[in-house]
Amino acid sequence: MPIATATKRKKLELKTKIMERFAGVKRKRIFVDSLVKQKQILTQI
Amino acid sequence: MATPEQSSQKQEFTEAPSGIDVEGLVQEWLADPDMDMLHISEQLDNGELTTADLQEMERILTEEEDQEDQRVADLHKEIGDLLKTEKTQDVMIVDEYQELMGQDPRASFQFFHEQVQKYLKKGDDYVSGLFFLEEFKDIPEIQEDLKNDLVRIAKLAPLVLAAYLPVLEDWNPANVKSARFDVYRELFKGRDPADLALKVFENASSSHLGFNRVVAVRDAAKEAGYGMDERKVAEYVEKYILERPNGKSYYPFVDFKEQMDLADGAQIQIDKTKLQKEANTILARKISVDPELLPTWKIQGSLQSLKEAKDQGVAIDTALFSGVLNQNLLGYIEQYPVARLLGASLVGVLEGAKELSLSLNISMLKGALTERINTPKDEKELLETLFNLDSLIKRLKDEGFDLHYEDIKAKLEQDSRVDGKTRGELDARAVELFVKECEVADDSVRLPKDALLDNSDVKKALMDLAIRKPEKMLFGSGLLLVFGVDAKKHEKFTKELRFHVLYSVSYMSGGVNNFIVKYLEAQDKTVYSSGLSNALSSLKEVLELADKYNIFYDRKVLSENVNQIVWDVLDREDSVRDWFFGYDELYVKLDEAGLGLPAKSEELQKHFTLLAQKHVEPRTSQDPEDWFSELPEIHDKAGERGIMYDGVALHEQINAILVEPMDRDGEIKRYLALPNIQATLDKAGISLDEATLKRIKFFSRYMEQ
Repeated sequence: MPIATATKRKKLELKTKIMERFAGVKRKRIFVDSLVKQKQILTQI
Repeated sequence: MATPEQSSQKQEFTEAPSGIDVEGLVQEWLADPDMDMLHISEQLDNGELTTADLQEMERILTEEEDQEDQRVADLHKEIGDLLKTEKTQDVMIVDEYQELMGQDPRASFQFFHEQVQKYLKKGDDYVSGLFFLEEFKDIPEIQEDLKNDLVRIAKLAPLVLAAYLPVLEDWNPANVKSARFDVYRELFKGRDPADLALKVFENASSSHLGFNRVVAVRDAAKEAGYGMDERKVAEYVEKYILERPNGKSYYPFVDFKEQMDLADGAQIQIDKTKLQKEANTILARKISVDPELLPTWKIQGSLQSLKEAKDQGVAIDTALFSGVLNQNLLGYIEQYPVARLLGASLVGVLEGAKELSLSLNISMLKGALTERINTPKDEKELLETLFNLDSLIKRLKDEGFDLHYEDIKAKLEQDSRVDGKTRGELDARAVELFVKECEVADDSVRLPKDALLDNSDVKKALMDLAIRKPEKMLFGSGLLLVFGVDAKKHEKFTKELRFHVLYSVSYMSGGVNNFIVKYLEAQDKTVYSSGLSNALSSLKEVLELADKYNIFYDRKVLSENVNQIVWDVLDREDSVRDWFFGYDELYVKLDEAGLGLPAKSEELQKHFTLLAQKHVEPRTSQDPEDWFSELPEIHDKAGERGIMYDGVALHEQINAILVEPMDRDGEIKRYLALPNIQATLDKAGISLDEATLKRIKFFSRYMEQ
């Protein structure tokens, strides 16, 4: 496989992984925020 | 050796980093709430990022994701722990009970039944849901199960059940044999009824409720065939009445009589004679203090304490307190300089004593007064007493102490230091002593005779002292340091003295400005607004004098500095009354002296808001009804003066206070006080948030437990 093609494929793989990770971090941060709120409510009881 | 393909693969993985700040880029994406996949895809496709860059970005994001996973796990654990606390469980359970009760009381009982199994199985000395006992009592088909549950609670959580005995008094289900008896038997098996009664009394949110519980425990024990150690209960209650927590601790024995009546109502045989005697002993100890610390106003204060205790139902032992009062007065007469008797009023003490039917030993006190006047502590006091004897004797006569003037005078004149001397010689000696006193005085000096102020040596001594202690002369009432002198009668000399001082001060470092500010700052550390007001009382005259004789000072700077000091002092005021007193008083003084700043509403609003916030924040009282009690007064007084405050800040603060987590007793007290709190806040023009009310009411059922 030509180097350029292999690199391009590798980049595509990495791009997909990066986008997946990014979405994961974003989603988990939203979840963390809601847990923080829950904790606040329980602490205030 | 690598093949070309292997080599190309190697090359593919080792494409060098481009130097782009990939960490910064990733963090920028994460921080941007609008960043979406399309934008990211476009940025990743820009061609400048190498595989090494992309690998690094993936590594960073993986690390971020791992960290978020860890945070989620930590929060889950923390929330889990919070959910395990009794308080949280209670709230959630109360919610569930309320919902079920509204739909189907039997389902609610079923839930209660499960709770009993669950909690008591765990060995907890706790069970929720008993607050619905009244309702459960009315559902015939569950009475057998209810009885079994109550027996179980009686066995495993006796204190919880004992607190609910008043609800069980009329519980007599027709379809269950000896239901109440069986529960009572289980409750008292192997337990001391007195201990149970006292424990539930102690846990009650009010003594009223506590006494009811004691009655219920006693009746239940009796019904179950157990006796209660009445003496043990009575001793506890006696101690409670004498030592009960008193939020308003400035006078003892609040509701003394009411508590005794409650004990009576609960048929607790307290020893009232012993209680009264002990209350008197405690009071006597409280008001018998070191005579040196006992000016007449303190004696009056102690009489006021007695009066308040009497109003609360303490039977004042007049013989005991007549003795204490006579002793206090004797101590006062012996310790205080004769000259002070001229200024002090015994009338208030005598009136207070009369109100309490305390008898003063007038002949003993007259003897002590005669003895004290006849034995001056030094030559100065001797002269002072002689010079002022007429007015002193007249004053004491007006107050009910008719002393033998001629005898006292004759005795004083026999003293070798005055015997045979003419009036002129005595005056000269008094001047000599006064000049010496001025030379070493740190604080006030006392002129033994008003007329001596015309003496040139006295004037010079005062001038020298005024230069040495300029603040004493410039401020206050001018001749404040010269006790015994009528400043008004000597206005010309007062002005002369002031000019003399002011002129010297203007040559000091920083001049008049610095001197005034330094002086007021020093006052500021020690006094509250009333003291500062006194210090400012002659500022107008001082500045007029400076204006008249062109003594330099910067009025604008002085005004700013003095106003700042005034704010500082007002901000420290603990009492609302003092704040407004100070505010009115000081601003009049500043206005008169021409130092008042133009009304800066935002400045005023700021300090006023601080005052209001201060009165809700420290909440020293245990009683929630007291927390906001000063706000209506603040509101009214501010309204009268057109002062605004930051209502939003206050509103938020109050709502936050009312939802602060508290222990069970605190929650109960706060809930019970809610109607009064609302009424108080209403008067102060402050409303509570719906959420706050909900949050407090949420506990309504729970509170009754």
